[in-house]
Amino acid sequence: MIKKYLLIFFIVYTSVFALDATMEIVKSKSTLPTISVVISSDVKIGGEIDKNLVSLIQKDLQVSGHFNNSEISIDTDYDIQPEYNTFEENAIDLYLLLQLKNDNEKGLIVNIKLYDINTKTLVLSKSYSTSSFVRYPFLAHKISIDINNYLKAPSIDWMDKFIIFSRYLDSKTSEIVVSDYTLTYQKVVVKGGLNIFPKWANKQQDSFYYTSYKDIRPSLIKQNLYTSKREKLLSSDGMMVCSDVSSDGKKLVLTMAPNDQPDIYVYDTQTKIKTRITIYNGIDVGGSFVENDTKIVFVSDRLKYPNIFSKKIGAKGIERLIYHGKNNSQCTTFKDYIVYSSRETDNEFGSNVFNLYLISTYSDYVRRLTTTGRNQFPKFSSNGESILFIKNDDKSYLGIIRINYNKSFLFPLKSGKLQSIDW
Amino acid sequence: MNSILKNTVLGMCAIGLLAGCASKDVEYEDTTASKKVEPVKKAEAATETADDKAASVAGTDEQSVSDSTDTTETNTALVAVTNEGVNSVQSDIDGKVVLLESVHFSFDKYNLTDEMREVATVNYNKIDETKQSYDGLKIKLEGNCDEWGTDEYNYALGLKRAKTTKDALVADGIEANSIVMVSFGESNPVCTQKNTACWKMNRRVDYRLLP
Repeated sequence: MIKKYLLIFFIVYTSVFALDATMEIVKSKSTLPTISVVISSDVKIGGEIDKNLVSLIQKDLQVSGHFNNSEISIDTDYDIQPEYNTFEENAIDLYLLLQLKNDNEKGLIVNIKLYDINTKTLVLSKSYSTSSFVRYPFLAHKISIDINNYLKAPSIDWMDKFIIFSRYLDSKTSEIVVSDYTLTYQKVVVKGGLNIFPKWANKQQDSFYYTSYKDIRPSLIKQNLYTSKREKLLSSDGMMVCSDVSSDGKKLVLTMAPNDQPDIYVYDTQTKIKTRITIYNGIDVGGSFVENDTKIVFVSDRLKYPNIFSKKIGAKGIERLIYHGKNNSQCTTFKDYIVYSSRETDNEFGSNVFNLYLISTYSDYVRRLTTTGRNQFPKFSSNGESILFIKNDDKSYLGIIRINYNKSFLFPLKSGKLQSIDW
Repeated sequence: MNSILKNTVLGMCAIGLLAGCASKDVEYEDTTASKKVEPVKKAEAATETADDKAASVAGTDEQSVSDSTDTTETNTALVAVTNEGVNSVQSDIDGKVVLLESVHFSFDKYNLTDEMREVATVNYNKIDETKQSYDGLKIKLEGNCDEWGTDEYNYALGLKRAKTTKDALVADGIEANSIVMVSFGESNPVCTQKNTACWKMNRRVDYRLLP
């Protein structure tokens, strides 16, 4: 019966947002389960990890949009049964108890117990470990995913995916970093000189492409994340960017300028053949595959200002996709949806505002996703429910918009300025 | 658990309703009586060690490999000179110093103004003179932008600026195949203050001579 119940829910849920995600959604917080995340007092790791782990799990659950966090303070050992009455009096539905251990062989161990207060039942007991303490954010995300899965809420599996980004450090100097989505864990994978536009090479996230300025011409490099083995694929006068990878990982959308003009190309990594997609005496950049990799959506200034267009691979016609804004210079696509960055102002003498907008290719309605500052470089998640973006104001932030929940979150970058991101 | 699931499902359906879902034909069952709660012992027996994705990152921990810096620039000992709003690039070709003034552009534009076209012509004359003594001299044109855009379009804008400058050199008489272009987008500012004068200085093309 419960399966049928949930099946109906998911059919409704899916059809709602397939219908038109551009519509504003108002959420009722009172219907979400309230969870209390507590760390046991019998074993302490020390340092900041205890506190940070709890904070990260709470942040994950908040970002999911499926939980309310309770700030109730409880002092308890891991093996002591919870005082259900205390939780009930505080209107808490779920109680997550954590225990951290430092193990000589396994490194950091996190044991968890999840109690359903309403049924007074232990419903999940699990152990997580990582050999290096600095990787504790991924344990937090895994725990959050399991709790979310227990509730059978819409997937948040993207939380323990890697983010890859480039950040400027100085003139002609940047580095490429792998992180979790909160930027708590960070690992530099390419440094020295100018290295920009990192892009995952496949869904497994075991290798990535990026643009290197090591040589006189910018080059496209493929690097294995685990061995650091590098392969130079192509180079071009002027610029070279890998802006998208086909779903099977075999084809790349590139912006190159072998004829002095920035145009869109598709490069087959197996045959090593590149095919020119656009031919225009201006700017064509930022291509991405749509419609089962048969069409390219891209940015062009062919109307004398940057806007979003599409072209079917192998065909001649160009289709204009956006009829809003006067400076739309970046976009991301998911099925029939497009999110684009639009410069709202044209101010040579002061700050300019960039906002993100969501449209459906089947409707005229435009939904604004951000309101202030410089919001750029949108990237849809693999399931289309979230958008990653860069916000550059007084400092750089990695932003996440949870489209279906009308929420957005910002995670500050401690040093440097975000150049580009992928997940 | 039943109550949580029920509340959550109803809550999320409420979201769906507010989003414009026509849900009148959908009925919900009260599954309270039919859902069995897992006993404590069963849950404890399910204890397992999670697959540790983070551990797989181990391969990268000590393997950040540095790229070397741009060897071309190192070889030619180039120096950027900024003076009273005008920036120039100094190239040292076998002891001969050539100072070439950068060409600047308007906000969001890649065409040369009359004033900048004159600067391009002055640069051409210096390059042409240098080429008389150094056969095979290459000219590298570096397009740059202000900070108003971190995206790919900004890199293309820098390239278009370099292309405009290349066209001017070719029109004046430099062979096209002796010119190399590269765009640095906003990654190569000569001024990092947040003001109009600074942004203007960063919208430029630098000329570098390579032996």
